[in-house]
Amino acid sequence: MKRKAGREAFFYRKASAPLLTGDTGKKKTMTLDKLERGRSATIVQIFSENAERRRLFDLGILPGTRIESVMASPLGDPVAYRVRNSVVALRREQANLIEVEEERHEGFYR
Amino acid sequence: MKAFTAETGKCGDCASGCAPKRLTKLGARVRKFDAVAALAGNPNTGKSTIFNALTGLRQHVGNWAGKTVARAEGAFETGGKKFKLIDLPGTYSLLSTSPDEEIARDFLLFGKPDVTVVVGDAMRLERSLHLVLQILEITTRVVFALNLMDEARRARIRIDARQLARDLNVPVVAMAARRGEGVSELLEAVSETARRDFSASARRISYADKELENAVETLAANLRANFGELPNARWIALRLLEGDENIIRAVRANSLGAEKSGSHLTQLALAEAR
Repeated sequence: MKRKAGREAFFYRKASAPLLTGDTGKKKTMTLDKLERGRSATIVQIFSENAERRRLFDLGILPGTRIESVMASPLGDPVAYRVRNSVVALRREQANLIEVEEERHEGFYR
Repeated sequence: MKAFTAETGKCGDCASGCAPKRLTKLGARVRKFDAVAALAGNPNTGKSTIFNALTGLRQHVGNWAGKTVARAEGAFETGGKKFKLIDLPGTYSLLSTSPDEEIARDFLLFGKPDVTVVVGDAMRLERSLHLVLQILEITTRVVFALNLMDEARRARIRIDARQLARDLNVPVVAMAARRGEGVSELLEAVSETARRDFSASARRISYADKELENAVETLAANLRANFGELPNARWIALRLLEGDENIIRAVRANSLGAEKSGSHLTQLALAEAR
């Protein structure tokens, strides 16, 4: 996803803290299960297949959807994600099949 | 709560005293009825609350998934017409394979209700609309009840229900069913929709993929040629292309083209086939 120049400019003015080190402006993608608590990301690709893929789609989990990791169960699996204003729990092996691009700055797009 | 004062039959909470749609709750007395209405929607959107408000029954209402596992039936009367009301289990979709989603889908498809009320969650509109569009592929006699408007107001979410109704081309009723808000508007929309033949102009999805779109149209035309005018020929064609066993069986058994009056027989046949 290409960010708009205007937003970028806004962000640079606003940022009082130093810019993220090692930020080359390239997309940073990972699987959803690696997303830290409290962080948000945009879904890039979903590798799940058949019924499971359809289930995710039915729940509104699609490429381009914004997703936030909100909390984990005591054992760390499953994890609760907020998506389209509802909370959905996914097991690690499900989240592992979802590729996301992390938002660089928490809360920026809110 | 919109209180219907017994003497006047008018709602007590506006100065003008507008006459709301009269409602007679018939509980479980469903021997004879003029039309069938179904309640569908995502889990936990207030289907059973609406069901109870209309029928006067006390179907268990609770905040957890899978509460209404089989369907519940009740009845009410409005505008001189008796309606049988079916409370379907909550579903996110009509495509997935869980048993309660199948109950909901089979009822909409083979039970052929005269009106389907899709109950949506104003807090989670996008997810609710997904099901609305799917149901519109099966039947266009749909009323979208946008419930939990009180919660949405509290969260400062504003929804333009009129624009939504124009976009979908089906009636949209903003509701807060647990406070009784919107119940008389819902009754109005339900009896109006039951009277209408069917709205050919309701919003329908067409698929961007040319090859798919062609296959669907060819198959749908074929189905119409064999089973008469079906409002859901495209949907059936899509399921056939997917290799959906249930639908293939139904086509083989010739239970798609059944007339409305025969719908309950087809339901029985379907129950036996399971």
